[in-house]
Amino acid sequence: MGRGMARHHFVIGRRLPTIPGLLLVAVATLVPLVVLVVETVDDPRSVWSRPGVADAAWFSVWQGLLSTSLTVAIGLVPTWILARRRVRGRRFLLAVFTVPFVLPTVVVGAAFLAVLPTSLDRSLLAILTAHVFFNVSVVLRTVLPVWRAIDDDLLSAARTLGATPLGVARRVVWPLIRPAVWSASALVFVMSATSYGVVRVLGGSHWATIDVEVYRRAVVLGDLSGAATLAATQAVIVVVAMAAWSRRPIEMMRIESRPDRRPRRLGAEFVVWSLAALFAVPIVALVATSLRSVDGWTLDGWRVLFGLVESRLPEVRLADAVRNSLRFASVAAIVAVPCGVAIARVAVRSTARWAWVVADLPIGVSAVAVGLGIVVTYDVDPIDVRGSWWLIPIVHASVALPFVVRSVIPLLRSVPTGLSDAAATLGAGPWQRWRRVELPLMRPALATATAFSVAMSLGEFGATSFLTRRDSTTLPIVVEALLSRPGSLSVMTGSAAAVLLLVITSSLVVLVDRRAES
Amino acid sequence: MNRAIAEKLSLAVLAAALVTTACGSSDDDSTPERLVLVAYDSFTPPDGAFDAFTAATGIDVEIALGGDAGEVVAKAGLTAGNPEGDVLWGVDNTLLSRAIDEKIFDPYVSDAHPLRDELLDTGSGVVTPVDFGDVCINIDDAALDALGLEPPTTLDDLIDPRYRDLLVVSNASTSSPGLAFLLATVVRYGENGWADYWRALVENGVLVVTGWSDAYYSAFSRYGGDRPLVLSYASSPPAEVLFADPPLPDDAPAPTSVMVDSCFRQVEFAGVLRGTDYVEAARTLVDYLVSDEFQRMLPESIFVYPSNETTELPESFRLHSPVVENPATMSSDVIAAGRPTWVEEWLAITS
Repeated sequence: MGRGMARHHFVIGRRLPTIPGLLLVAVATLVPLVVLVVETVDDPRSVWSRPGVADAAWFSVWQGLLSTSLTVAIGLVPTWILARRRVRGRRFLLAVFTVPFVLPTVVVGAAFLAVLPTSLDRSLLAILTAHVFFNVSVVLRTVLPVWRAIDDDLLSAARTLGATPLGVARRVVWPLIRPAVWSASALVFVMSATSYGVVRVLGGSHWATIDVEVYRRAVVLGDLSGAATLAATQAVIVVVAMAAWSRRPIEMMRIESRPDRRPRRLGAEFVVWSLAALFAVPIVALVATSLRSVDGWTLDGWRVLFGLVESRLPEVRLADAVRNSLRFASVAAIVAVPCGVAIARVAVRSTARWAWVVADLPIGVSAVAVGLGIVVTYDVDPIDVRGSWWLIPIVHASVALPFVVRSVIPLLRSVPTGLSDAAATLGAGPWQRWRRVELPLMRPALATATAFSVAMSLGEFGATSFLTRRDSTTLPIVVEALLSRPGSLSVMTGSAAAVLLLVITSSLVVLVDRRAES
Repeated sequence: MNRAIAEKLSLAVLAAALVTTACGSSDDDSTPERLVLVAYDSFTPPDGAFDAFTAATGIDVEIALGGDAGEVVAKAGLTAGNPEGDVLWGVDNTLLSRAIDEKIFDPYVSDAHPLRDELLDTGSGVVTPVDFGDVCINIDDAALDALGLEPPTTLDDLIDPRYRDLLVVSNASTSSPGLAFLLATVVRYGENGWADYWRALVENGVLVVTGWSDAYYSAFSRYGGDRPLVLSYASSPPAEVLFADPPLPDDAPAPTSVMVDSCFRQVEFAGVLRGTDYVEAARTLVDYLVSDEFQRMLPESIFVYPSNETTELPESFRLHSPVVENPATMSSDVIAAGRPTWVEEWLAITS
């Protein structure tokens, strides 16, 4: 009895660390959404019969399912090869497949428009291709470590007992990787169904998801009630679905690269390298756009971007934008990483799901609704903070939180739990155990979490564009501003800025990933 | 060794960011005499554009960007009476009615400087017209020439089979030039005729894309697309010359031209936000926005025409931008009343 009480008490104490993370979600997402709904919604039911709404809801669902099936089917190919075969340039390949996930949609949209033949522009196929491009890394990061961990002896035993290769795949491999595939599908579905930037750029006048419809209602039609209703409904559905779909939080694992003695297969290598080449096409096209004027190849776009030549474009404050972007990314990481790690620790050690369900909320809320919500929520003294620069990194931190939690959980699982207890037995106090035992073991987790947080913050456009001051412009906003005026030099400089953003983001991610491995 | 380098690099990045954070945070709260000008993202006046105002009044001007013009108005509507700033730049005649309905503005029309006659009454006595522009079909002259076609001159030409599959426009339900072009057709063909005109346009292969950049930078023949006719602005040809690469001499012919018959006039306004603590100062700022000093900078920085009638156009505009004699115009009340139905019907026709 007394023992039970003590344990109960212990569990509550263990959950306390999740409070900062939940507070972050509440402040930056939940409260603004609720206030927006309270202030604007009347007659929430009528919105469903207004033109375009039902279409958008239906499109979100079926397009989401289709994108998910394609992403999983295509993503499992490189996953399988990288898990079971020895391949040259493995680390490079992993980077190529991973980087799209953290690219800003402004950049990806521009890249896809640059590469698609005009007949495919703005078609369903373009949207699906872009979703696959974005999300394959989710499949890879979630399934690869599980698949890789399957014991070779188990498979050869099955073969010795007379199973065909197909039989082995169906009866042995599939049951082992199924939970990971299932988790990855849930996340890919939510990412595709709530897609905003990609659908706005590539959707033409034909296709709209709920997030696009939220924008259209709030901004174009002035129907704030409808917009808030849609945003809130989607948020609830996403959170409930994520909770129901996967019983454990979906994990985005660090990919380890231990030495491998499996034989090389030329066929497998060829397949995985060809896929990687396809993934590089949009990025190469973007680079090409930054170098091509109407009269041929030139470096002028890059020269203007770095202020090396005079031009009559409104001055690109590149240094300011880069500095702001890095400043927001660091503050966002300083907030999101400890909050996310704390939630992940609780998730690993208990079966309670509510903490990471709440942490998932930012994935399901439209950026337009968050932007409008923040503006109406924090508008009275003493919390009239609308002009404060730190509002932007706080919003970035909440957007990054779900991904921080996901990437940290598997790493925390691999930390042996006995060590800390052993240290306690040997007389180490809580602070000493944390500093000497847990912290060093968690370093890879912290590094990965930082990479995700930094990447999400660098690429965030939707909410930032609502909240910027002229002196807090970020790189994605510079890209957008340049690409929205006529002239050869504008598009070249804008594309160059997009390439720069891509390089900064991907090198930070690769750098931290490598650090996590060593 | 790699690891050591990586560690040092990330530390350096972090340290640099922290330093800039620390420096950046010290500038708040010390100067209460500062006005906030709320504007859309593409409001990019040159550096120092407000120095003259600050020198004359001792008031600094901070610019708060808030998304596109529609997003700015949506935000201002939500915070009407308790605004984010003191003055709003950039509500246009397609959004003005909504802004007035939502009581965003404290009425003020500046009479500090002479404004063009035809713009004077467009602000409904609530806001001051600060600039105007024309949304028009632009022509890639070389590409059309290569097809052996004369440039189209009337809206009717666009439904002529000779110009089949040559036009790209942006979405009237999500982009401001798209809406303007839809309104132009409503003006030209009337309430009862515009829908038929659009059916004929669709029949003739018009391509509808999401926004201005998609139209101009991916479908327009000058930038790798296959459409020599694109919906843009009367001020785009001067931009093509100013931002040409390799640079063009100012008097070189512009590579694109404007189909004057297709133009719709957009007027942009600035107003004092209701609930500001500094009404007087805010009015002074609106006065400054229509002063020749400020208006002179507008054409070559945000590619609009000055509303101040004494402001002279720069050479690039005099040489390359056409004089649009009779643009289609529509009052903001009529736009507000008709827009929801027109846009829904337009969507049904084009998708």
